[in-house]
Amino acid sequence: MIILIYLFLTLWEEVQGWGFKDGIFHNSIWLEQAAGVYHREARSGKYKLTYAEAKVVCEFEGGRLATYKQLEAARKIGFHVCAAGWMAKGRVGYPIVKPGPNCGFGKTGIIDYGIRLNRSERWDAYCYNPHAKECGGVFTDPKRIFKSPGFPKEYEENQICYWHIRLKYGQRIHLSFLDFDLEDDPGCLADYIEIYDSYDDIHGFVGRYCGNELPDDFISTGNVMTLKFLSDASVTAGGFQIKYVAVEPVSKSSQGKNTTTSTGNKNFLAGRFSHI
Amino acid sequence: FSRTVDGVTFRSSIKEKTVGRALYSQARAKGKTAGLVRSRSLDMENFKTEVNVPAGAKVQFELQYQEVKWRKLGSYEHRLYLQPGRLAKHLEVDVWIIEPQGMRFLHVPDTFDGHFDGVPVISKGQQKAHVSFKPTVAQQRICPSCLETAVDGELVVMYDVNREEKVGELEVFNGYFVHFFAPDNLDPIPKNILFVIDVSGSMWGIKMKQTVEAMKTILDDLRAEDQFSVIDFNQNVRTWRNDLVSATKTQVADAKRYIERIQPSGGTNINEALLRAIFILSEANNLGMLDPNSVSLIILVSDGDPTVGELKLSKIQKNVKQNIQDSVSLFSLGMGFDVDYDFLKRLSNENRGIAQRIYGNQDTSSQLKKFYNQVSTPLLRNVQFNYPHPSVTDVTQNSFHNYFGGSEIVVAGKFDPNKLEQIQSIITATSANTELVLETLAQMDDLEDFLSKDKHADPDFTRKLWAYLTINQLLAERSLAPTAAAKRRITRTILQMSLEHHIVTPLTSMVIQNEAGDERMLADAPPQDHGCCSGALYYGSKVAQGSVPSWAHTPPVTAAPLFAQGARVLESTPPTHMTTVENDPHFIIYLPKSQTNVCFNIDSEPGKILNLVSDPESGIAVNGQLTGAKKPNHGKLSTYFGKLGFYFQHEDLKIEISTETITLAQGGHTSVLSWADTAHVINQRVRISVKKEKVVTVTPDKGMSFSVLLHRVWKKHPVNVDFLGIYVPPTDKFSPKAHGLIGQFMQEPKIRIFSERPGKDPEKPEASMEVKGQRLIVTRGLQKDYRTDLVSGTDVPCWFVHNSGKGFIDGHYKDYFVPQLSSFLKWP
Repeated sequence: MIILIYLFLTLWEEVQGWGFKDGIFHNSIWLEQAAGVYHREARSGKYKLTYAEAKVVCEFEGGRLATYKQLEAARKIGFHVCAAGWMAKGRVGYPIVKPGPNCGFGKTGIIDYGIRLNRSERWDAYCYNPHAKECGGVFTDPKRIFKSPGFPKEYEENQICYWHIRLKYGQRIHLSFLDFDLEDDPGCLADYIEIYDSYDDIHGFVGRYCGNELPDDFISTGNVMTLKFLSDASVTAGGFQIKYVAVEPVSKSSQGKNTTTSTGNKNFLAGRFSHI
Repeated sequence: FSRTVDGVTFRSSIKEKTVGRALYSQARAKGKTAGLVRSRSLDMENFKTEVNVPAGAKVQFELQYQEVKWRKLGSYEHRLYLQPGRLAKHLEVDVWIIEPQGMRFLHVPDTFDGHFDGVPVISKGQQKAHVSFKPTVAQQRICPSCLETAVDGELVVMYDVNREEKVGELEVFNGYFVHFFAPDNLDPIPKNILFVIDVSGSMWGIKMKQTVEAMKTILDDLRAEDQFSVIDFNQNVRTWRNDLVSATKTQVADAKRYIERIQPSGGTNINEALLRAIFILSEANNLGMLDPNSVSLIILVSDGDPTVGELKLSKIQKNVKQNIQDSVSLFSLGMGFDVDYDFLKRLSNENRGIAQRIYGNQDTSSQLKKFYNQVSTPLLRNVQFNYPHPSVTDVTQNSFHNYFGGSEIVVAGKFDPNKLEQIQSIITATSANTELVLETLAQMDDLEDFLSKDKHADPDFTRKLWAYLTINQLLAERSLAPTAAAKRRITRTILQMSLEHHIVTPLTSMVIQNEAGDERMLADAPPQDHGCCSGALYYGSKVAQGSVPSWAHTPPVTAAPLFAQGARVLESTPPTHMTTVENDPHFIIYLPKSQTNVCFNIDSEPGKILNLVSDPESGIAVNGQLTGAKKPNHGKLSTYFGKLGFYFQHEDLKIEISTETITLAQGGHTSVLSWADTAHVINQRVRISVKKEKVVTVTPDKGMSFSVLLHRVWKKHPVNVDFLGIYVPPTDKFSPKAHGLIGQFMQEPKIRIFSERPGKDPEKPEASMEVKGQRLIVTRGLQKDYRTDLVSGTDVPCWFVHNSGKGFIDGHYKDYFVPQLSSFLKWP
């Protein structure tokens, strides 16, 4: 019983701390890239790109112009930019998370200027390029498999990868290891993966893993999780594949029962370590 | 760590991690009292315990640990987190501090918004201090009728040790030594500094505001001799100036305006931004725009992982490392919690810098400034520690790129106490204007004595500190080890050392158990990356011993002490004759051709400056300033040389030697040496050697030198004061134009001494002397040379010229007054 209350308190506290409102993650940190979408302006400054030029800017970096849907998906997880830019199909708009007097007329959502007839108008650009990085990133999909760089080939030396999983408020993350082979080392000082049951790699340390034994499944206490993978200057191994799925919140009436029985055992430590 | 449950005490031991875990699971499975202690660092050590406590049991926790306090911004800081969560009937925190060197200051800043004003009681002695924080229940309440406690925060104790007199402190005990090095009395070295600021979209909002605010004060703090520029980058890289400019007021003001106008947006192209910074520095260096004696720094402020350009972190690391010149240090500031901090850390550590995480909140600006202040004042470059004796082994990192004011370098090592009674260290470094060699001899008996007298002191700390430093360095080495075998070898050493010295490392756990061994607790080290020296500002390297520059030729000490106690011998061979000024100034002029000493006294007033040597042709002036005794003796106030000034015009070097310090000034830079250190300095070919508390030798050239002897008197002597004596060996290096009270005799005048006869005092015969066309009556007398015996001196027979050398010296002694210690004599 005591554990139950404690867990609940922790959850509540963290939500406050991370500033979740209306299912959107409000943080002092604005994402410059979310769900593969990012904003670009011309080297010469703001509002200098025609539609054709905007396309070239995105393609130059290996991506393409983002669609309205992609931009909205990014906005939902905190992508906020106060500058109108070209999207796919000649549309122009910008994503607003936090309403302000100077930006977006006090509204939130995609401020949509519609599909432009004059393609020589000059705006910025919103690009979509989800696979720009070879490892790491911010995941918002309800489920996903991610791998060590180069998997199924061996990973390289001197790798650093950060994965941030951010799901909808109320959801939790069920993490399971499909394949796992990192340089075995006492204390995991060489190559390792670390799990944090929090937004960053400071709070909520869950564990550090290496070797070739599959680590146990892990279910987060909140809707966010951070994983990082580091390899050192020598000796590599097979790498890993990790799967996560969103655990939907159970209906209010049965919440107490179900949640605690499933977490009571498994997440005992995680709850404790979540706030230092 | 020990813990008492119902009177049963549990004690701790360090076990290999897997062993520890196994023991813990055993106890837990048996349903025994078991606990888990974890420490985790977020600027603090945090021990959490989970304990199964039998109902109604009384538990007492006792945590004993040791941590290294690194000196930052001129002080040591101890933070105690106090969060009892409720009113406590008895709450007491006691901090005892023991510092053999003595404490310069001790301060308990108000960290509770004035609530506990006056509650911490500080009692401070010379070497020991005690802070007691003991708020009563009434004082703990937030308000008189409240039930909440105001004790929710941290108690901070700050202090620094005395080090005005000595730059290095060698502490030796039981076969281990620790060398603390924190000089302050030096001019800052000019720096070439490039600020590389991330202005991508993710910096939007409070992070950018705080960065701008911090940058404005940082730019204001630049010194006029510094050169700087600002690079801001998102997907594009922009520069405020394309090359380094001097930090003049107008340039700084312009840079501040530039930074204020920045609107963050877009991606993060770290690769290109850093390569640009490196390029600007390399170009400036290739074009000879950088002062060869300056320090180059890149300060990267970023909150994120790269999103534009080169995205592969290992590739960026490679690019930076390949292009950066090995004189440049890269410091990184990671803004916010979700920064890919490990990347910045690796990047800095392999380029002679360190990284620091800056938590993105209201406090960001002051965190940024605080970090910058730590590296804003480079005082020394290429600092190397040498311990020449072969029985010194296992020295920790002993070569450091820079030394920054306010911080401290710590080096430790082992030695064989049977072979060596004293440890000698030689530190070589480059300051703003000189090459420096500092020697220290360790005094070990004092420390042992001192520490054994206090129950709070740990006399074994030298050994533990050595082990701690060594383990941390091994952990850092390990992450760069090229093969699995090398890693295994290092792992074995670390494990062995942590077990032997009782240190919790990533490879060990602390197991706590009761006497019977059936109830246990377990403690793990924090899962932190030991890439760098946890908390220290420096990322040093190891170099072979004995790479002391040849000009600093100092013979290594042998097992026999260098100076026998009591006998203060400065030179082993009997001294050759020299021209000397000693005491209340007695001049002894040695005339080598006639093999004669002629002496005279000059009695004048305190404050007056007498010219001793003035040679405009070779650009050398030597002057002495008189200081008075504390009071007249037999109706006469004696005067002595309290300060001597040397001016080498061609080198633009001024040396001022007082009874307290030795100050070198050259081209606007000054460095201060102390009589308390043995040191050698080479500045513009002029060599200056200080022999601790004894003598300074200034050697401007081959065949010319000046020695200044320090005479210390009993501090409470009613009359006498400390003073200086000067010794000049005969030389032909001065030009014929040389003048001054001593200088005029460098071209030896012809003298004839004749008709020696008994004087009024039968002990002191008289004679006539013909010199410079005059006939004088001189008296046989004795003067003192103190080079072999600093206390009583050796007698030097001489012919004494009366009336302040009248007739022997050109003109009147008052003609030799000059306005400044660096003045040349204007001879009519």
